Amino acid sequence: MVAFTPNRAYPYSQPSDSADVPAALQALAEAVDADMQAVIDSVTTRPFAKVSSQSPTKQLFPSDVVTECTFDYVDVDTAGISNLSNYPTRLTPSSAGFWVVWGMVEVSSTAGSRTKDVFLRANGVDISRYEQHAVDPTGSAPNRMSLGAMSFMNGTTDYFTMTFTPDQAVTDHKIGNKQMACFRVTAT
Amino acid sequence: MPQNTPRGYTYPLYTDPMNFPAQIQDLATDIDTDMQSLVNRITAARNYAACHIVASGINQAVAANTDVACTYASELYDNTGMVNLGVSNTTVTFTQTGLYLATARATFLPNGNATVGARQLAFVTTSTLGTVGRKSITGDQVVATANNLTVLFWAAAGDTMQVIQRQNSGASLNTSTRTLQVAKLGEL
Repeated sequence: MVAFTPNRAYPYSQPSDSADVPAALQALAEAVDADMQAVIDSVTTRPFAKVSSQSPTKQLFPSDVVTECTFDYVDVDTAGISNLSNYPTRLTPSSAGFWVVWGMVEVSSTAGSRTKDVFLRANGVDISRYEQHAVDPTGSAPNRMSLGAMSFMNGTTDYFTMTFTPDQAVTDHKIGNKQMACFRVTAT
Repeated sequence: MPQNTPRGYTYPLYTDPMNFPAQIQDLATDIDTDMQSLVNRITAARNYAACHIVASGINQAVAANTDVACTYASELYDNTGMVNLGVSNTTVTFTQTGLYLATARATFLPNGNATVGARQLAFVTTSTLGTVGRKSITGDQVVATANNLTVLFWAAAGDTMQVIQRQNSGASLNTSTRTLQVAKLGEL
């Protein structure tokens, strides 16, 4: 009766087995081969994705309205995290674990807004916020507001979004440059 | 006398007594132990310490010109016991030595004071690095200000960390929502 090792269940002969050395060695070799291949297949690169907006048509952000940022270009996606055709505002991590998310919006200095409010959200619930107040100096370069956050994601339905709200604005905002990225920190 | 490969796999020499069942069991068990060690290492490399704690809409007073440690009320994720809110609702204890990523946010409510001043967050650790990050932004007299800070730093097991909030509006104010996410960066 063939026995098996305790951890990986590799087969080996016992004294009561028939003395078929080639068959016993083949069974062990094939078991080790299959197990090694499974272990190698499990060692994948860290899943990550980054999306951005490249369209010449800027997205409209009405004053005092919380609006999800849209994206139209996949800079990189190693694990099927983005699906911009169906979900242009989302990154949906494809494996369970603790994930980092990062976002950036480039706010024009001529938009006339005094308060700018950016959220990173998981399933629509805020996990981080950056709200700043400043009247930009005339002629200054666009202000890039970036922020990061982390959250456990279930790897199937949980998703990240980023929202931007121009508060106390005298005009609506139009923003072209938006980026969002995420990667997994721990697997469980 | 049986010999061993560099990884410790046992094999017989021609001079050894013929005992195939014992010899193949030795070999299978050696490979089994080695493979399980590899699998354990891969699992550990993916599963490093991380935590996510929040105080959502729970006011905390921050006196003017005073360092106040952020308090938290709920653990959303904690895979290695970095947080025990019943013992301390301000402190994260690092359970593993390594490179950590931390993100924090605090929403400072307005106090109506004509002197606005700044709204500051800082990551203060007991490690040799001390204060590993600090960010100060302009507040507002009538609307909230959300500060957000992300840092990458080294910490040793047993070190602790707090997020320190500070403001210089000249009067006390409250922070409402505070979030803190900390993760040791995994190897895979």
